[in-house]
Amino acid sequence: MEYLPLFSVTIPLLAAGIMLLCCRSELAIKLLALLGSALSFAASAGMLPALAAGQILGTRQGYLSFPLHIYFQADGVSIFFAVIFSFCFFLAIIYSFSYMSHGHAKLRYYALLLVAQSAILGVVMTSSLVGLFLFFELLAVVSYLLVIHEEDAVAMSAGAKYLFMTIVAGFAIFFGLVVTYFLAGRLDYQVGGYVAASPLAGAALFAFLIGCGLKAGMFPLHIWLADAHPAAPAPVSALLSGCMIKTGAYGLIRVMHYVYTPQAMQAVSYDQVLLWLAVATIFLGSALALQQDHLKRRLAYSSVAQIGYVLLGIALMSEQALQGALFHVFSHALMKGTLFFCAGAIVTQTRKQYVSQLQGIGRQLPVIMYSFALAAVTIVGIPPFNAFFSKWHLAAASLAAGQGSLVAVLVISSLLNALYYFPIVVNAFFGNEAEENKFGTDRLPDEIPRSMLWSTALLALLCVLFAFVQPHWPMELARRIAAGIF
Amino acid sequence: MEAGVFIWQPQAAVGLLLVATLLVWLRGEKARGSSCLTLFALAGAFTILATLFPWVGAGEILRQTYPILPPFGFSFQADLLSVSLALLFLFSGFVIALYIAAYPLKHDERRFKTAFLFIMACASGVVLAGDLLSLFLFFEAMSLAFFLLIIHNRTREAVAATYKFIYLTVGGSMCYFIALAIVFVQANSFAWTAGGFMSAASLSALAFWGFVAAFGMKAGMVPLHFWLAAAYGQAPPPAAALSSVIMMKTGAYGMARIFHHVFGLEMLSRQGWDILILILALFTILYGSFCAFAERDLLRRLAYSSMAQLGYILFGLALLNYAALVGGFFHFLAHGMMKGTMLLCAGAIVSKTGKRKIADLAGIAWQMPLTMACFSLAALTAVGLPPMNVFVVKWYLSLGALSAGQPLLILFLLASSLLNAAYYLPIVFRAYFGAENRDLHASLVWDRLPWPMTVGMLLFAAGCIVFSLGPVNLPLELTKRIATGFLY
Amino acid sequence: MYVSPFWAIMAPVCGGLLIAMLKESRVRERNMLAVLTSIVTFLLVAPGLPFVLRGETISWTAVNITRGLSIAFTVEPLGLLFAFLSSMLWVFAALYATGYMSHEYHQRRFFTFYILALSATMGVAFSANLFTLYLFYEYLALITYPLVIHSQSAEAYAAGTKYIIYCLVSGALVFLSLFILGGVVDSLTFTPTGVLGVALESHGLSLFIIFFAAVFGFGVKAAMMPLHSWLPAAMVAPTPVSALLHAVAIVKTGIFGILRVMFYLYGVDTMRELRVADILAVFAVFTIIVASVLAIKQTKLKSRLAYSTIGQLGYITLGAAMLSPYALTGGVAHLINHAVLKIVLFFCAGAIITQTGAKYLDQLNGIGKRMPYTMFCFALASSGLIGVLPLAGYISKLYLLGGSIESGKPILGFVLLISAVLNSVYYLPIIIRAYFSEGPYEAPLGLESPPSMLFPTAVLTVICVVFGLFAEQTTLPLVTRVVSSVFQ
Repeated sequence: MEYLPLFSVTIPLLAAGIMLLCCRSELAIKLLALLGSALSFAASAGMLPALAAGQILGTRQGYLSFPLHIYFQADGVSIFFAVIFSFCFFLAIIYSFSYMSHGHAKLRYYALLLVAQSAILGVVMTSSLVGLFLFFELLAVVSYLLVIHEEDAVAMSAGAKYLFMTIVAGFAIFFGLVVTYFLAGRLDYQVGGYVAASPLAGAALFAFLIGCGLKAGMFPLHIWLADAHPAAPAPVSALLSGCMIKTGAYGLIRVMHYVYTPQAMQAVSYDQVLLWLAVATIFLGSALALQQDHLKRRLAYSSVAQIGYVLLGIALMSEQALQGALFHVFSHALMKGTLFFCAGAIVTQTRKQYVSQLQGIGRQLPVIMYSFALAAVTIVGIPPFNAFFSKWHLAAASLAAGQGSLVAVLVISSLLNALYYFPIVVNAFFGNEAEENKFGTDRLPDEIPRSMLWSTALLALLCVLFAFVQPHWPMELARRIAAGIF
Repeated sequence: MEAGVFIWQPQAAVGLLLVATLLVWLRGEKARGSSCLTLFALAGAFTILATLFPWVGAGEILRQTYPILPPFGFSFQADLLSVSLALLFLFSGFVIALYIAAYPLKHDERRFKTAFLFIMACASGVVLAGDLLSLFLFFEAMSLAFFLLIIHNRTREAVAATYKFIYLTVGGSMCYFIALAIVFVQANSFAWTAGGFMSAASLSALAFWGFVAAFGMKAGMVPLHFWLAAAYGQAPPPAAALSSVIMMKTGAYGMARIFHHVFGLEMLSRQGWDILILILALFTILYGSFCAFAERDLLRRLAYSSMAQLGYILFGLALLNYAALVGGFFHFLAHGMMKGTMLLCAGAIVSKTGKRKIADLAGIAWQMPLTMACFSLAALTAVGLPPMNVFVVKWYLSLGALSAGQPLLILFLLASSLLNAAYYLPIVFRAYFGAENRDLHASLVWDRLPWPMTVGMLLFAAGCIVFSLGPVNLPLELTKRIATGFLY
Repeated sequence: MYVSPFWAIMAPVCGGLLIAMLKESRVRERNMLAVLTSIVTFLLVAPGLPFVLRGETISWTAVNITRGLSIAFTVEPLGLLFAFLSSMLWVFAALYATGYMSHEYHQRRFFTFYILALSATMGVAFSANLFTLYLFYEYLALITYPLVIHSQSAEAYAAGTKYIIYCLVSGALVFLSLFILGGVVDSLTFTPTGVLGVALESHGLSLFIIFFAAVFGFGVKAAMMPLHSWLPAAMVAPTPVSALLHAVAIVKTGIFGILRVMFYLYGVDTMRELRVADILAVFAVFTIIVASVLAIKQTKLKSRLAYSTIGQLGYITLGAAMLSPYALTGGVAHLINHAVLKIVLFFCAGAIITQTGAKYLDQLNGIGKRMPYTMFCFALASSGLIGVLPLAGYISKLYLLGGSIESGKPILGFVLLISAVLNSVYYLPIIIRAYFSEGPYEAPLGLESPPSMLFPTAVLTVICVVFGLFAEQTTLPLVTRVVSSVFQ
């Protein structure tokens, strides 16, 4: 039980190593990828009881010495994120089976996916900022390689921008790390923080803001997102939006609540700055999403807006707000995953990338578009679907904090969400097919490969499932975690 | 200082290497025998010096003086820094010698190998020398032998590069000479003394800067760096590896001795020389990075990059506190491993395909995957990615900057890391993704290089990361002990 | 127990006369006799070394002409140093000459005067007063004239004429000073602290003027600028003559004379009072710099060596002119070191001329292939002159530099360093050209030059290293004794 954190991180890594060294046949590659990912998910899920009980799992064994050690220990926040991440990766691998069936460099792709899973789990499974940083860098390198997978000009330029900004983010976090270590002599997590206020502490906090914010896609450091997410293969886009930008939010949570004291943050009005940036992110993301015709770019900007919600929740610095933010991490991963999976299916089946081309496509790909519709409805925040609850908690927290205007922000942005999602759905089902879109009647609907179909559908279902299950487990867990922090 | 303990190990090690040099020369052009001889000699010297560890590891300083070489005799000193550096040099030399054993030198192999071994002997002598004059003996001999390596291809450009190197070396030697004379007259001693032994008399500034000029020239410090790019461009890549990994470090080592054991840190900070050295280091880092960025030839880019990396060591030395010193000393190892990997890989590429321009390297990762994998690891190390060596260096240098109350210097370090990325990563990209026709089998194949070359590259590449993987970073612990010994 | 200097002077005279009586065709006997005579002379001089090092001196008056005027000899540090050096080098030079001259004409005439010149040099070395010194000085000039015009070409005759005119002028100046100084004090016996101090108040002006007359008189022979032009012209003589003229006999006699006048007639204190040393220093600096610059422009090997000699002699004069113990140590040490180093260089040049006929520098491309050992000795000896450790030249440089700082004139130290850099500019290209340029030469069949030429070159090169590494045991004791007796 104590070794579960370590296992969840190292199993995918081992699987990738074995794959690189031995596997030559496609079947073996797929099997190994599936196995590695599944085992890792099992390990993460196995830690859920500990989360429910409020324990910290892990061993005291330190690894590496560069010159600091990393320890694999998982507390509530870690396990929460880990389960979400590993599940998304697991489904993405299943989806990839058919998405990549005509792709190139499969060995590289699956190996990188496994390493990415290992890296992202490593980000959350380590018990100090050092481990966070180490796996951040690893994740950056691996995700870059995944983004440029197609190796066409678009992908290369998007990847270059992404890599540059990720490197800058890494440097910013390094600055924050070294200053924190200098000030406090330690970098591990402790509820309530331990670094006191000082000018250097303020500088470090802003460095962390730049670094983690860049990873999360916060305004004004979001410019890499809109190029990278569309250029990547669809499963990778789903993972980027669903998981990898959440690591930025995770980093901020750790910095704000487990390393720096509230006084340190008060001294530089950190929460205020973050709040305004979050609001700007929400609006900007939504506004830009409206303008996009390319489907995946629209989804990318939507991700920007959604991460803004999470940042808003973090910035409000209250238990309810954090609960809302954490729940939104959960729900957005599922929703955006569904949406990107649908987009990928559309692209593989019909080669259509632009929203304006999607008229009447619902008749051709019914299951996919139903899933899309479900996810779209969820994301707008209509009860009883997932995102409603997170927005509810965020609104309640804003009122409690005396920031009534934020409620208006939430409402307006939800409207904007509707404005850019619903037309797609409506068009798909009720739009007239343009002449060139007409297909012969001999074509059967939904002839998409099974793995894509099932994974998309499953994700969509999960968007709504928990609303009808008592107790609402993810919400419950989020509540417990937030309670533990405040 | 231990008066009674008699040490023979430094003399034996250097002597063994010199004897081996003679034997390699006398053996003639028979390749395999002389390579084995070289490797045995280096391994033997390594073992001999390693036996000193029980004493120097405990912090003792052991000296041995001989009454030759007037005016104060010839001495060896074994302390933790000397022995550790000598062991590092000998190990690196072993790897490079292994590589040279299979590297296709088209002519004059005997001269090359003899000069290589002689330089190894002198480099060991430099770090094991116990006073300024003995150090100078080995230092000059090493420099003069290095020109044999630069001129190896005998082209007109090689000769021009040799002249540049020789004149700068002679100039540096003359600066060293006047500094020696000043120390001779003012202090009447040349030996390393804890806390320094020069007092702030009228010409001590001249002496200090004379030493800095001589050592800085070897370490590629601005403004005496002109020989570097030309030499790396003309000499065979293994010679460039020797220079980067070993020879330039002797310059940095000399500076460390000058700062701590000739003039003393108090004098440096009182006279403000540490700030000037810091400024020079910053210039070196920036200038080297920019020139590397502008270079189109692979080996010349690596030359300027070496210059910038040595700037890091000078930066660490100039900050005069514990953390910075740890960072600076650790960079001897970190840069050696990283740059050694890169230069050996460059040599493999040049010898197999003849391509030297970066633009020509498109897609070469698919022809030489192992080589480029090692190069990529070294490039990622250079950018400062954890958990590899250079991250440790950056960490400690940043802590040192904070201890000195200059947090802005961290930004400087980060900017130079960014520049590092800007001139290393494009090489990697071009190698992997640059080709028009992409034969994208992502399976590992061997490069079909001679096995000594491959093993050499792998050893250095492993050295970039392996020390951080264990529970205890042994070289780092050693470095911390050295820094403690220097400062307290 | 010591044989008086009389025998050291007479032995070569006997040897020379015996050679003159041998028939021209008796080559073997003549060669053996020449070498034997020089060995015997050396063995007569050598026992004086431990004697002088103990601090004892011998004086012996041969002929007492009038009150204050006598022919007298003394065995004391400086004189013995010069005699020891000359006789030792004469052995090697005689051996070398037997090989060099084997294809020349008029060998009987050559060897006669060659050996007689040794006796003249011994006389100069052991002179106890200015009059004796003057006598042997003139004697030396006359004896060496036939050696200069040996080849009897028009060029040789012209060089000889120039030479004899310069010698006569020099002699005249010395005679003038002898005359006037004789009127000022009772006796002109060489005394370490000087004899002219008593006449300082009464004859200050004359002393001032005569100082320069005497110094320039000897300075002609010492090729001090602007009175140097006989030396490059005299290069037309056979190389054993050049080696001897430029390493030992003529030029060092001139320097010896300067040292005698400065320190054994005037004395340090008198010179300080008259403030003549600074003016002399200016001339020395001028000589050093201009000679070094002119050397770079020479295209003939022997001319380049000639101008190098002029510059190096300026070092000794400068060392004397700085009036400090360190400087004089450096100067006198350089008297020895330069002699040994320069004679090696000339031996190499002579070997090149006899074996390949190459006189010009651009004919030396690739000659390292034809004469590897000769060029190796050349490389070592020229490195020694540049100041590379551990060869003989560095210690004199170190002391000269130390002296410039001790006497408070570091600018003179800079002059020395600049000329060292210039030295490297005119020596290193020769070596690089010899080994690394493409040329018409092939590897030698058998020995590259006759053993009689190769052997002295090799042994003297080893001595260069020994005098550097083991100077504390070999040359420095005698030098220190000279300096300590002068600077009481």
